[in-house]
Amino acid sequence: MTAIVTSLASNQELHMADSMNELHLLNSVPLQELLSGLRAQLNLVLLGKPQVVEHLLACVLARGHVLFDDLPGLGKTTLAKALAVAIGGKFMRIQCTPDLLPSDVTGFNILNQKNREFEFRSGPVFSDVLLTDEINRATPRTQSALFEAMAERQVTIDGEARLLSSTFLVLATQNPVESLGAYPLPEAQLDRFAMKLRIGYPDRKNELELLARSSRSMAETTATQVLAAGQLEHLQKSVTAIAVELPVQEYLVSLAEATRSNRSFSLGVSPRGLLQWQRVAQARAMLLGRDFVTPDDVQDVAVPVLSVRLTGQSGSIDAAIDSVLNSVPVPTP
Amino acid sequence: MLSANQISRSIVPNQKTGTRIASKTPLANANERISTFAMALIAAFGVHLLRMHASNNPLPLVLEFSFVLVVSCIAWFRVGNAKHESMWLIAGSLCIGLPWLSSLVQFRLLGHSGEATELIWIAMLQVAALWQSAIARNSRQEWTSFLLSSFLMVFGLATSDRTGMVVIVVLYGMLAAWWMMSKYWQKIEKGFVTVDSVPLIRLRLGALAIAVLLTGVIGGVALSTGSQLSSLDGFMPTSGGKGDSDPAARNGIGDGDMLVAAKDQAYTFGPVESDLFMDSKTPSLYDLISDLYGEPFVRREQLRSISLDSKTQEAKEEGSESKKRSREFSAIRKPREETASAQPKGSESPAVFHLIGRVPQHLRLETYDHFDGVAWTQSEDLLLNHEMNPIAMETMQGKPWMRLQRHAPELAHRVHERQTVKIIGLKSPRLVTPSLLTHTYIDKVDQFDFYGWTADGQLMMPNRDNVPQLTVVHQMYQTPQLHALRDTSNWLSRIAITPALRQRSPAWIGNYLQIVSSHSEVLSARTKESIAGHLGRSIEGLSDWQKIEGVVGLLRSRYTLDSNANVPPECTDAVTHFLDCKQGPDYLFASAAVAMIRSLGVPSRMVTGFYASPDHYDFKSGQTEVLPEHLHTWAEVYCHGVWLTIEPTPGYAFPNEFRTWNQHAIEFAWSMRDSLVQYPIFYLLGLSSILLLVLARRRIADAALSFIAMAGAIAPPAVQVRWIQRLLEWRCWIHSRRYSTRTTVAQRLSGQLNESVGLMASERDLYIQAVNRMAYAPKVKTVGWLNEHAADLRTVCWAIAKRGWLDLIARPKFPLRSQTGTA
Repeated sequence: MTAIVTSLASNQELHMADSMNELHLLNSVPLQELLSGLRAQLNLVLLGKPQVVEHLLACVLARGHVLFDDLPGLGKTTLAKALAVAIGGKFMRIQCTPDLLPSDVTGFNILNQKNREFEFRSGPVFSDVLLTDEINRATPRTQSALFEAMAERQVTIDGEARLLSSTFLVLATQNPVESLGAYPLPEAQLDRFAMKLRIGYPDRKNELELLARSSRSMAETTATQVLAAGQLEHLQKSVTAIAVELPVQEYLVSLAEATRSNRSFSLGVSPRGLLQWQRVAQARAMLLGRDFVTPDDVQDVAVPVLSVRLTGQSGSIDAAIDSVLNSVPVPTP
Repeated sequence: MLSANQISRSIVPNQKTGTRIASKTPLANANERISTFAMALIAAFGVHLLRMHASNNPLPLVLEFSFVLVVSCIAWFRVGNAKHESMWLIAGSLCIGLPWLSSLVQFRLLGHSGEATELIWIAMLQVAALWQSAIARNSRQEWTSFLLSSFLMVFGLATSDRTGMVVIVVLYGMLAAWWMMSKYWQKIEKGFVTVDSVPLIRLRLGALAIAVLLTGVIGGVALSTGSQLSSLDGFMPTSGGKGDSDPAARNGIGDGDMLVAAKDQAYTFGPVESDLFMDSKTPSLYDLISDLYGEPFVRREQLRSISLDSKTQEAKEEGSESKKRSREFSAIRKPREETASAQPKGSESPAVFHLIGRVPQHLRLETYDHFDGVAWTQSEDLLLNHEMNPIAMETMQGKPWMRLQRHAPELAHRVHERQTVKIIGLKSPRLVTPSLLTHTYIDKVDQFDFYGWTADGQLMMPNRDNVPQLTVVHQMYQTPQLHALRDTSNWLSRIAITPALRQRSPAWIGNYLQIVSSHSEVLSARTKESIAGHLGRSIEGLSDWQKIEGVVGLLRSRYTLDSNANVPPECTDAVTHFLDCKQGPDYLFASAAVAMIRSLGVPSRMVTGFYASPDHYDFKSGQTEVLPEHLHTWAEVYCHGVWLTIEPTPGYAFPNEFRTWNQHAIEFAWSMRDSLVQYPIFYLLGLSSILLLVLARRRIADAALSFIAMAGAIAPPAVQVRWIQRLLEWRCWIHSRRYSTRTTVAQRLSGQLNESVGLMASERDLYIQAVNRMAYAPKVKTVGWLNEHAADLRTVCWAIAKRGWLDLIARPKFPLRSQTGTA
């Protein structure tokens, strides 16, 4: 397990450098070019799933974490790796098991025998993209350690808070099929995720191409780096410049109210969830090159954003979300 | 992360904006709903009072009103619940027809006179207003209801002279002023930046107080009595009158004569016998006849060269005078002198009598049986009064009604209609009656010998010179049902008196079959020929009544009414003269009809009486004024014991006849068939053009819309984009395509524009972006963007608008299948 040692001081320095570079970066490369570059790289790796890529990018731009609720072997790890490479960050991976300890995730202090001092061994959370496989197999104790990192972007070890990367992103997976010996994530913790995505099987044409590509070479198709250091943070900040006008915000609020009054859900959308929803909609508008949010954006991200935080009778969540969308009239001009 | 402040701003809905956006909230402001409904209720109540005043039978109206009230109250309480919304809407639209239905029930089933058409329309409008306010969901519906109610108030109630109405109008005015002010406040409140609502409430209360004060003062002035106003004599332009008014008044108000004449209190008799009325000249029927038709020629058969002694001469003159006064109607008359008027002009009402009841109505006064070619007379030997049933008293609803006649149930509809006649100015012991009279009742008259029959079978008051003025006579009568007479298979249809039948008939039947002897053969042939010519078929196989209808139809369609076309004095056969020159006054129509019907062997007679015309119906007082010029002559036919009215003169309505719904439908079908046969080309053209319009309705509507949209091409880009979007919405509506509420603008547009050919993808995206921007982007940025792309947008808008116009000539490119938008 390798670790990057980043102190508080050095992190702050990095921030200052970023803000110095910001104007320069903005002028040198247009936003849309960066976004289409990212999109192209991810689509190259994950064939035939532009919608998933779009949602993933929206989530990254909205500084949100993603929960993949899918079967093994569909390309989750590949996608996570490609994303890490494309945004130019460090990629780490944890395979969760019941005996995984919080210190395995966050890192720990160890006594150096030479100079008789404790020194910090950082855990995998000190990365830019962290893939947490089968998160529901970790014990609640380990899960909660991870959730602190996700929500606060910092970890506390032996009473000392350590900041994580400012673009820290968790891609967690859970297997919906084997539920034996698993610790299902509680609702409060699911709320930390921005989205729940499903990749699903590729269609016939894309699967054929996958086979064809694999037969020619040994190496896996890998992405190339698109963003320079600090550019991701700049992109994430630009999302806030996307305008959300009153009719759209009222639409969002009405939708949230509808989820709270809908009987299919045991729990409605929290204000935190609503904030995430708006931010993701903003990110989606930016991905499409628009500088304002329309109800289309809100609807497009509704299923991934809501399905992670709304629970009810399993399997009917998508239909229930659909009925919520149907029940609230779109604000028309 | 957002700060707490930002969170509260973006998540917690602003209280004020939340309630004010009508499309968001399912129902409008509760206070306004209440006040709108209350106003509609007041208007409804007022209109209902108006109807109650005009009607003489309040029970059906009360029932109807309570029903409407209950339904709309339930609707008002339940309108928030989405369940069964459409059911309620249907129920409401049914309610709108209720006043009409209730009027129909009143006169068809209960035998009341029904209501005036204007009142029914007003009532239907009122129900519509009430219903609209009950189901109002947004401001626009409230406005519709408000305008309807106000219209009723201003034009229906504020003009009424009933004192009770003033209270209602003032109440309504206060509410309406408050309502409009609150609407106005809401409108300008949107422009306010501050959220502080305290001063608004204070202002509203102040405005309300001012409105109440103002209406109170104005109402007080309006209600104040003459004494207060008279102190302003010479300063205010008032007439200083007592504030009384009379719908029948024509020349000035309140000079005192009306009060003395007790015209507004129908049941008092006192002043009638005072000196004032002793010298007032009430005309007899013959004065009226001479006024209307001109004096009859006095024909001198031979020269009188022998001078009689004064006694004999006196006796002879008296005899001729009495004959002329009571029982002769000459068909040859001098031209009318316009200046002649027996009535002095003044406050005296010119009416002969007033009628409360169904109009048009033929009211019989006198009949004639004998015609000598020139003059109609009543035979001396005719004694129909012995034929009539004895008059008997029947107490109905505590009133002593006199049963006069019974009619054959096959010919008279079982429902008895009621009417009331108030005699104003006619000197005659005879009472005006409808043809199938059954009962009569005069207040406080409970002796049957107050009534009697004249020799020709007309109701009269015996042992009197005339019916007392201002007598109010209530009558019940039946409506004839003539279906049996038209049906040749029914024995009732045989009404002609054959020689064999004549043996068994009473002797007086002969009087009603008399024809001027010299012309009988000619007339008989001529009649049959004319009927056949008019009906376009042989008269064999027709029932007698159908032949009579042929005569009536012939006279009504081929002859013209001309009251100045007199018969020359030397003529000895007025009917033949009339049949030849095809024009004349109404008594010639009647004479000719009687002569022709008699030549068919059916007993008939000429009738003089009054035609109560709907033109003189006064809806305020609910009565019809019958004037001297409504004197009219028509004919009656004898069928199985009843005299049925027929109307041969064009311009006068056919007499009432009861038909079942079946008969109505069949008659309508036959008349349709007749006109189809008559104008086949016209119907063919009309039908095919309607068919064409129906088939191409979508394309035509589309083209019309596109044409309007093309006219908008000169507008600034923002207006243009909005116009085109509206056009597209309308197109969807025309092609009955419905979207779910979750379909966004972009989804709809991409569907609509994909199908509208001739638009490139980039153009389409540009237009969608324009619409999206106008709806959801900050305004400042949008204006700049629109100006930047003005030229391109113009091209796109023009292309979309042109499409529908081209489709009218080319194949429609807009598929008719319905679909919902795709993401």
